[in-house]
Amino acid sequence: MAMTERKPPLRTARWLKWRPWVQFGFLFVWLDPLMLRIHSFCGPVFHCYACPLATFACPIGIIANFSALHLIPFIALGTLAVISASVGAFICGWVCPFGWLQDMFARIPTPKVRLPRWAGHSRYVVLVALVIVIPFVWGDAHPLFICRVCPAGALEAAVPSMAKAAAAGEGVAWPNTIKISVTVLFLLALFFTWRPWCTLLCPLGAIYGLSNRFSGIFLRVSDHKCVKCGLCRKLCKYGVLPDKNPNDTRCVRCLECTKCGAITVGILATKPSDAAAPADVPGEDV
Amino acid sequence: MSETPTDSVGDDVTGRITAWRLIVTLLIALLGAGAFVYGALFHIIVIGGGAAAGPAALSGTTDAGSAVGATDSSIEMPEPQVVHDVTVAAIVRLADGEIEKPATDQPAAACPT
Ligand code: SF4
Ligand code: SF4
Ligand code: SF4
Repeated sequence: MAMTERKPPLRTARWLKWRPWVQFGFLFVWLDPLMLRIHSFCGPVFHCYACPLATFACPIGIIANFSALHLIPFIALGTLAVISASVGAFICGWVCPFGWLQDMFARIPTPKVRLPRWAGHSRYVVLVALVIVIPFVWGDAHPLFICRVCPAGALEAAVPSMAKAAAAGEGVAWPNTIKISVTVLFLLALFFTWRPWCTLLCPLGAIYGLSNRFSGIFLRVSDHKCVKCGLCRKLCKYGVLPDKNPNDTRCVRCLECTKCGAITVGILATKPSDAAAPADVPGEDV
Repeated sequence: MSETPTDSVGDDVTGRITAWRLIVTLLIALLGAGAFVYGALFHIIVIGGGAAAGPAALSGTTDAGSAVGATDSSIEMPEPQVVHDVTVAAIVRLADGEIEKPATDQPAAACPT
């Protein structure tokens, strides 16, 4: 790819410095010190509702539990459909507390490797097998029922409940071996790659990834601004080729690639800036 | 351009893909909103009203309905605002005799084992 003159970042890129703070701010939505526990409804994020502070229910836990009971979780599915159709994977990049946790670990300056692009497909295996099929066929007692292997459940629910039991002088019930193994591997992986859970295993991320194809807010490439320098590919840590496929299912909408200036955020039914404004004007970019 | 974006909405400046996308997006959003309202109505009104047909209505299956109906009077219904989906699920399991008391409002993850 030929290197040519860089263009200054657009507005979207300037939002980036606020992303950790937006993620942090949303913690006050998902972790409710007032203990409202509105568990009738799902939060659109991956946060265990066995966590003592969880405000909403976890949609994946709900789907798996309902699958085990051969029931249709209308509220959970409805929530996910509406969120997918509107913002999609922006939830992953900007809102989800488990994504934020992994982003914070990623700041530790250890050498990190990019996972191969095909790795993202394993999330769909988890979604279909551990969230739907295994619960449906074998029920919630199966050792591979998603909640029994989920590291979010271990860190956000089992650890606090063990600490509480230990503080109260009661016997501590340890998580099962599979769950401990997955959690230890996850914690180790945090030091050597970016967002290992999101990239490899998250069933909710798999759903939001699919929605990148149709969500109302998406990424687009401005052809007249792209100088084929490959910067966007270097900026993306999740195996996406933003200049070629900005609505790839692996994209978590971190918007790092928008620093290049040619990738911008688009909103449904708005025309690309190429059509509306051939000059170097952000157009409908948000 | 040797690498014209193929999946980008920005690739089709005429709006053809945008129109397709608009239809798909609105359809999914409407279906989702419908499912949510359907679930929430039965969740709050039916279960909150004390008729334990909620899970049957939610599931659309007669099995769950008959199972719940069989123990209708024996289940103390929680307040609607604290009922959540897994509690609803637990009621079905209670009715099935799988568990002996109403489950807590925590999923299997809460069970550290
Ligand atoms: S254990 Fe994991 S999948 Fe299950 S409810 Fe908790 S966060 Fe959700
Ligand atoms: S992939 Fe899963 S855990 Fe990661 S940010 Fe998205 S919903 Fe949260
Ligand atoms: S393409 Fe990569 S860098 Fe760009 S928003 Fe998606 S995940 Fe982030």
